[in-house]
Amino acid sequence: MKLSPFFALVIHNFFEGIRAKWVVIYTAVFFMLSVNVPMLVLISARYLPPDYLEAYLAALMALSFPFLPLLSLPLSSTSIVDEKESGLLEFTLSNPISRLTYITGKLAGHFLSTSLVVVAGFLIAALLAYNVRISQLSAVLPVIGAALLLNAIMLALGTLISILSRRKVTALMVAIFAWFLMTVLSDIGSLSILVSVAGSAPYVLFLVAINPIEACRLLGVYGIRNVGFTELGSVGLILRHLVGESAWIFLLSVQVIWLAVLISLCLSIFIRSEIA
Amino acid sequence: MLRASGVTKKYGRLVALRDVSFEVGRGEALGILGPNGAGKTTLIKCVLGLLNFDGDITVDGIDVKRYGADARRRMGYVPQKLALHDKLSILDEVKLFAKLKGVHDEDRLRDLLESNGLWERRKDPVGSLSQGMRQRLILALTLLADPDVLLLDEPLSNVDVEGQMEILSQLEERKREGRTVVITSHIVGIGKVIDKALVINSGRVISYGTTEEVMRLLKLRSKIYLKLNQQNEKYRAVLNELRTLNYVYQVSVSGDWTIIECDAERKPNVISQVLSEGIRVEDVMTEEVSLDKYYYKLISGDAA
Repeated sequence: MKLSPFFALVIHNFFEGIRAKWVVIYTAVFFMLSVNVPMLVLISARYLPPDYLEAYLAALMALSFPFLPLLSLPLSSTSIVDEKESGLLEFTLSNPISRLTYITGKLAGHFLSTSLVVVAGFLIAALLAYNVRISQLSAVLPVIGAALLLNAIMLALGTLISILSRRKVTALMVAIFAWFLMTVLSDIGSLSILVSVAGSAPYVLFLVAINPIEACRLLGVYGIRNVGFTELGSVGLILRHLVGESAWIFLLSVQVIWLAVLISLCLSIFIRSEIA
Repeated sequence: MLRASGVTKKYGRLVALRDVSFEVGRGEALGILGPNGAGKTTLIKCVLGLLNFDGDITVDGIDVKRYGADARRRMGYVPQKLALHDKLSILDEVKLFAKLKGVHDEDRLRDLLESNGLWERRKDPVGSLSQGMRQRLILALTLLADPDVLLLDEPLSNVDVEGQMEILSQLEERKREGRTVVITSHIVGIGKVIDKALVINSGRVISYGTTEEVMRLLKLRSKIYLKLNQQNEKYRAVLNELRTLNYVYQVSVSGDWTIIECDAERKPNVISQVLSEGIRVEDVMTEEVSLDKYYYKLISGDAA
């Protein structure tokens, strides 16, 4: 089969992604997380109302979204720097392919492999474990969409870290620190600011904008019908109060900008970089 | 075929290459010689367009800086680090690089693997290959797209003597096919393959010309160790005769071994001379003298 170098790289990186030990381990853990064993017990015991799906999805997002970057960040942050260290990048780029083809092929391949994990986690769990009917799938799709957007942003961030790093260990540490900053530290930071700056609700817009994990979670929550106050959380409620029903447009726009900026940086820096 | 003009490469204040120029035609081989850190690999990477540089490099008239991918289509590169995708099977690795090079002829892949003794092992992971076999695979990958120019960075440094001989004979064959070969090395043996030599140190060209001119300037020497079963009159006469030859610099005896230091290119003459006198040789060893100390001489002007 005649394949262009771009598609050859996409396929290669896709299989490299799904074969990576970390991705395999993560898939197993993530699948168990999405299946949510305690909820399965409650369903089988008929302790949950028939419209439990929305509540379950919102809870699932709150639980799983902070950990989603742990799928894509380690994979992408080590990918290029590892090849740099081993000399494989030099050998690959000595072939008649452009840097643009190489980097877009890598990003696309890794996005496909990690997306498979995300889709398998949410969709298969919904279809098999919760017996969701096809007509109900529209409730799950916003969650998957938000998760894929977060996955893409984290892949681009990890790839940027990888391009800028000289050593694999450093790249991995920076990536894990970035994740830590976005989950644990930023959450503490948001709360403290919200408490200390009374009456400064618009700051919430900024805090949400700089944290893709929280923004994508809220984007997923806004996509679920009949979502309650509990699922939105304090930040979600303030956002709805400030922006109204179009809060999801704000969230989506900000995340698309995140993605566009990160991918642009990856491309422009990698194309100009030297393979020393 | 390959032309470099005024190539200068700087890393901040450090000048890695300063105004390097050379030209090498079809069926010719250029040896880039120099001590470690001289800038040999940097120069190869500039030729491949992997580094930004000042000056011009063209491959078959194609500007490497402006049309990198097109220029690389005409080049094949064997790097010093033999890095490959260790988890892929040998066949999958070849298929991947074939696609990157735009080669879609499956028969060609099979032919290349067979001619390199790798077809039987095509399902084995690349990581299971020995260094020698790995180098063979990389050379096969390099030749996939039938490149006009072959660039080899220290190809002799990771292989045993047998492997070195095999690589050198392969390079001879590529030259006969009309390909241009550029090779970096610190081992004297490449003198037999290259037509031109470019000696660099600290990024500056020390010497550039035909191999004979440069080698004469370098005065490269080898040591031959001969284990002889007799040290009689005839033996002493041969030693004295060897001492009179202008390409023999020193003849000494250490136990059973006779050590002859001579021009690297004249080793066969010395051995023929000993054998022609009817002296039986029990064992032979040769020591290929590293070029480093000769570079030092050349740089300091002693060798000139």
